[in-house]
Amino acid sequence: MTTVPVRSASRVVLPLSVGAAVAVGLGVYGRLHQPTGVAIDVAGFSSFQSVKAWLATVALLLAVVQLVSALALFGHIRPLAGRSWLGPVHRWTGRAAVAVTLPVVAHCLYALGFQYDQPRILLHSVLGCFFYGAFAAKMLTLSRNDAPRWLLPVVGGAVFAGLVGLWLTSSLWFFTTFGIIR
Amino acid sequence: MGRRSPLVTLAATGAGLLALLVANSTLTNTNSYSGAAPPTPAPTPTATTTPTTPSPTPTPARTTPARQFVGVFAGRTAGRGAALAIAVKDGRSVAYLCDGRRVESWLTGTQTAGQLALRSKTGDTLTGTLAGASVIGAVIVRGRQQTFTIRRAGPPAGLYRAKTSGSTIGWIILPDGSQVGIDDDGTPAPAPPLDPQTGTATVGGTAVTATSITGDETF
Repeated sequence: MTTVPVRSASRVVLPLSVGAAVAVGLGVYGRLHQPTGVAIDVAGFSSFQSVKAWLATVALLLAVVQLVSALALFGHIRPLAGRSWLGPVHRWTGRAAVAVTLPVVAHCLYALGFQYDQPRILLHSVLGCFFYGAFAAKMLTLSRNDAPRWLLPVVGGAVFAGLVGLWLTSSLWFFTTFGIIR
Repeated sequence: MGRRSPLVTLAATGAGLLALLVANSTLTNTNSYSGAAPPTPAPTPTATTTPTTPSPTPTPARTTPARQFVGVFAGRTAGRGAALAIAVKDGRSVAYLCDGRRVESWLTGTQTAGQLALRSKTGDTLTGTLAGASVIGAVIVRGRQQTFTIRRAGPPAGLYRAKTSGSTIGWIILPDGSQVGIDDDGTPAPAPPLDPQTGTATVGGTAVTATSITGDETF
């Protein structure tokens, strides 16, 4: 009898605590690692900052596909309900979205680190850690068939909200500050 | 299989991030900032200046010609309020950020189609956009980003530099006439006052002459 509530709680607690550990770990690394402030040259772009702004924009567009396909998978978009290609589209756009964020976060962590000099920078740093924590929690939730039904939409929504917040505090700031430049 | 693929995705993501962090450190370690001893950056393939100077620009060579432009901008960064001056001369640019106490950075780089991209020898960066009588941008010194909007400044406001046998002194004269400067003889310290009329200052009893930075200097 006593193992039932424990097991039921672990379905929720395990993914969420691993996600929290990922978020905290990234934040600690970003704070402890001496930021280098260097940038990598990418042909055709004026700075690596602009490369990051555009990669994040690609990720945001893919995330919108994620939101729509997730709604359809849960049957909230009637014309798309039950289509067999929804699952693969959702999986692969999600993988692509996370993949294009990797060069961005690698540069953020390595060259800039976790900072809180301005509200925008603080929010961006926190959201960056939160996003990958939420992503880890979502992947772990997906890997369990016994997770409660509400958990997947919650962690999926957290990933999406995190990415939108990251885009607003970086790419939108960049494009409004420097203009829409490469 | 459906239950294992998210774990594979998660593992691949983690491995990808780790690989990129390692790649970052191996690609950029020659330019990385070190608090103890400033490393000497290796010249990069994008170097466009004289062989003795490291590449001052983080941008690749572009086909867009540099806009013909001469001007000096001075002001303070947002929030922290360090003084910042940027001199632009056609395709070249020099910037100096200075808090008047300990933190300073000399940056050199390029101006291409109104976009400024500058870098210091220790890996600090400045990006900015010429927007009429202002430069809007962001500067990252010692890993701390500061944004700025600084306006065009006429003499005596501007950027001045003096080099003696043992030290380099930088001054920014702000549009309101106030001065911010650092004398760096190995240990940065507040600079003595600069006489904007004669362009001289007295350091330890001897007069040193400062030059007005116009933007095409190399250090």
